[in-house]
Amino acid sequence: MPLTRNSKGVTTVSEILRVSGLTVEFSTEDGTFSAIEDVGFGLEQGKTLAIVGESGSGKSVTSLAIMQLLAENGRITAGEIVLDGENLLDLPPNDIQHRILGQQISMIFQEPMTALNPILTVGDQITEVLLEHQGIAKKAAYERAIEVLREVGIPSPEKRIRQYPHELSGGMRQRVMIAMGLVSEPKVMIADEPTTALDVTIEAQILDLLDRLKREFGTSILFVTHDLNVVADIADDVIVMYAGQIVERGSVLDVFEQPKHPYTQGLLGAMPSLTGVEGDLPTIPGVVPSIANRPSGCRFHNRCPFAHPRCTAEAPAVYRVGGQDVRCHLFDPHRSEESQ
Amino acid sequence: MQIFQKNSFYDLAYRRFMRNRLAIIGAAITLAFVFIAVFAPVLTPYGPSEFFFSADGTTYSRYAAPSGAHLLGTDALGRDVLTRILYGARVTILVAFSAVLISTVIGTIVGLVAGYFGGIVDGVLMRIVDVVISFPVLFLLISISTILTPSVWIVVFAIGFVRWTNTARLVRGEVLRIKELDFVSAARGVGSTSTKIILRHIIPNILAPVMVQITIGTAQAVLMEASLSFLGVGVQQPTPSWGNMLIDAQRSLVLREMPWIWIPPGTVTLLLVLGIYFLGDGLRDAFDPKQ
Repeated sequence: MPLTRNSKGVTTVSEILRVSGLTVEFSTEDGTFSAIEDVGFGLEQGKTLAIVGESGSGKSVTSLAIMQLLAENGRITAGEIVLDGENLLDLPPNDIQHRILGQQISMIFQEPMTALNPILTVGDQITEVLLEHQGIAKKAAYERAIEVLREVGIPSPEKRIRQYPHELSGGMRQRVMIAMGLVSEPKVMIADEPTTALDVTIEAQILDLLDRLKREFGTSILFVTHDLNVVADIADDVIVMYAGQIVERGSVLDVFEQPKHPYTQGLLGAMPSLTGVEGDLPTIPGVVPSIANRPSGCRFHNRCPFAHPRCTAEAPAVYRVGGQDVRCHLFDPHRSEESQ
Repeated sequence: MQIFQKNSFYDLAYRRFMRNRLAIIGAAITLAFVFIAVFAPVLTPYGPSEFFFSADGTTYSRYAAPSGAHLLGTDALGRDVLTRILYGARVTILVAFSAVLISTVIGTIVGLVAGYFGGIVDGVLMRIVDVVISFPVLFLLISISTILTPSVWIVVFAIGFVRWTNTARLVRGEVLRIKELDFVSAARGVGSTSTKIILRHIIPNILAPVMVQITIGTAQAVLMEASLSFLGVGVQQPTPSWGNMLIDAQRSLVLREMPWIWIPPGTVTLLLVLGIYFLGDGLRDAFDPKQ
């Protein structure tokens, strides 16, 4: 595959999804706030990209913005979302409804309890996208649904297809959700914490399933999570988000081996390990600042062990360090000696 | 007996309902009154406005005590009380069902639109609801009945006009709750249109509380019709309604000495309202999966 460097110096290998400069604002009674700012990344064909962050970091807003599923008071004010060469933000809404959503890009939700309609059968829900936009006959659509249910590892799918969500276990429901996302063979699947609500053993099965689907169908997966163990398990590349910005971006190998941003270091340090020394788990003091109340300069400075005066005054740029992109003053090559 | 698709939400609710004895009794009472209303002409040999004469044939048989010919006696004008009860069921049930049909249709549409689209639309619609709720109903109806010729249909529209606000508020709340659930986002995420989402994902999921609201609304409409007719601004003579049959009970002589005039219409009103409430409670329990 051709290796190219774009203007921002990011290496691209046949990207299926490229997000750049994405900014989302929410208007509330207290004013307008940007939930995410200048978020940019590329998702390569057949790869898994994880977005990691604490609650309030903007990781879910990013995925909802790509799916055009933002709440009514949310608005994309800048940026591009290019899916397979088409900027989704330039397309008319009914084109997106009819041709893109569910077909070229689909989303798996976190809560299998609420993500399935309780009064429709599994088959009704899986076939919705096929019947709605692809003009496929009902019988053929149900046959396709049975096939997909089999692919996601649901036993006796001919029987399951006529069942209701309440007749299925949590893990089964999440498989049905994945089948819904997969049924029209999208290029990109967004998984928003798809295993958070599940038992650990079921979680491992679902992660295996996603990994297998990625390999068999070449589906690219955008995986949103707060769980670094899951990232290490499933992702090729990772984005770390903090307070609405990407603070570090790189391959999972690079980021886990040599985290550059103090926040990433803190996150990895707070990860329990089986072989680690005993004692208290280090934590990052404080909480993610609220959207209305973000600090000046670097947004992490009030929790950062390496903060210096420049961090409170000036927002850091993104620097290329090793294999990673890092948003931190520590990596400014022109950094003056006295500020160290 | 399999009425709904096996194990569907409505199938489970139906099975829970059939196990609830009080609900079955309520349903039976309600159905019995519907039966009476439909078959009134078969159930009595007399007409509702047929006058009966005393034995010598010279005067009307007014306030005759119950007898073999008139099981519940006769009223002030010499009409058979039982016959008027049976025909009164027609009017009472017609008024209650029609009024609830009107209020449910208006209320559901207003609630759906307000809840789903939110924003200014919601604000305007809910303020209209506030205005309608603030209307002095009795005053309104008395005014209408003095201006227009009172008829059954005016009573129907009056009750329907007053009652849709409850349904609108209920539906709006349910829609607000359901549209935040992930399966609605998931439907939007596969490119479903708003119309499709409302028809396929929202309406079927609010049907249960709306059905409960319909039963409670029907019981309240029965009472409302009775009150209005009792006060003389509802269904007018000679059309029989349980409410206007009670008008005579305003006289203390009737109240003290002629119980056959007022006990029957009072009792059937109570029974029907109670039956519908039992039915409604049964539906609410049946639809609640936590039961």
